[in-house]
Amino acid sequence: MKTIKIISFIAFLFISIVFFESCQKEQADTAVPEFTVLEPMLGDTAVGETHIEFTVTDNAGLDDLVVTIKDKSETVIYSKHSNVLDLKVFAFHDHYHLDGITSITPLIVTLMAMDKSGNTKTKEIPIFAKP
Amino acid sequence: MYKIIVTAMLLLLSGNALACDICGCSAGGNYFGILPKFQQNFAGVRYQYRSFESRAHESISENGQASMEYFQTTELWGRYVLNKRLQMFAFLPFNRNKRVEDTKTTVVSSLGDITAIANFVIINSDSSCKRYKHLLQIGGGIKTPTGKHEIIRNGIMLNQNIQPGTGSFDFPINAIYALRHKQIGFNTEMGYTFNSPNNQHFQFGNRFSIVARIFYWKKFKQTILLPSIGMAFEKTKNDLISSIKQDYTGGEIVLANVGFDMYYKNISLGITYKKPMTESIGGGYISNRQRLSANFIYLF
Repeated sequence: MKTIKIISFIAFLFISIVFFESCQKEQADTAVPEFTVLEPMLGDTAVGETHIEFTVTDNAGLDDLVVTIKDKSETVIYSKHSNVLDLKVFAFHDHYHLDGITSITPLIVTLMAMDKSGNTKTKEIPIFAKP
Repeated sequence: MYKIIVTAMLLLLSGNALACDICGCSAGGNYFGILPKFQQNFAGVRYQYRSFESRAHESISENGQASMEYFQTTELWGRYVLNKRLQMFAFLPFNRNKRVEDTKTTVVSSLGDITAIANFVIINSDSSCKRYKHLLQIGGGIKTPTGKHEIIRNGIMLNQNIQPGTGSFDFPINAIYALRHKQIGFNTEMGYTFNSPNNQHFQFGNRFSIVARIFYWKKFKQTILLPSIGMAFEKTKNDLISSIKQDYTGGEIVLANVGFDMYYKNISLGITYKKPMTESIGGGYISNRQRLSANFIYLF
């Protein structure tokens, strides 16, 4: 009987610690992913092609990364998903050829990253495209 | 025997050549050099210096800045002879990479990627009763991603080509052939590296290299002197990001090289200087400067 009590007590302690630890972990990750953008910068004018280069980081690990370019009518002219699952850091580097630009056109480059806990960060960078 | 040698020579001298340090990447070609005493173990240290000039282009250097890049590798390496037919090589590099731009200088120093290679001895007629001494080895191995490849500075991950490691498992294969008649010898080695993508979806282009040297062998009592001259050809395919070929990467280069090796008892010292003769790298935006390598070997 005494042995059962001791085992029950140890089991209770163990379960409590595990539960407490898991609660702590759940509370821990509220940090959103962070972008450090090298290009484009706000208000840049792209001629011929857009150069997009940035690094995204997350303390717990990324889940998804999407980069889009939209024109003023919200039409998506460029969209790229990157497989960043479980990465804590990812360097994005791509060039998009701006075809069909006939005059100075405002565009919005949008970076969206989500981490494994569902924390999302979106960054919009307005730029201009020139033929 | 001669059919095998001729076939081996044709294999070594044909095909498209590839392997260069495009953008001066840390995954540079790995030459064995003229190896002494084919059937003895050795441990040693060697040093390699390479420098590059990248001219301004937005696809090559951040913000279109020109840069100079300097790559220094100091590595421990060794050979263990398992038996008459099988030899193991291991390379443990430490890299110091430096990029100098107008507005900033970036330096990274860290352990690089460890490589292990097994070579099979196909021909070894290193016997004093033979007029011609031949050696033919072929082998392959694995380069493991032990070096850092996600170093960040000011929030931005450094370009993959300046990281101390590639972050990928890569698979080098090689062939070495040496021939000596009296005091004159010929040595050639060929290598090809199959690179795989890392977790950043970056994949260095596969690399090919071939080098041929003529050497003079002179023995003074217990000391052997071995001056050599030769040519090297290297070619690399374009780097890939998410399997997409990257412009302004890849290329080919021809280098002239001059070397001097000295063996005394169980010790070997060597130095090699390489100068680019002609090249087309990174769409012509990248130029190799001189390369220098030195090595120390202890045979046991």
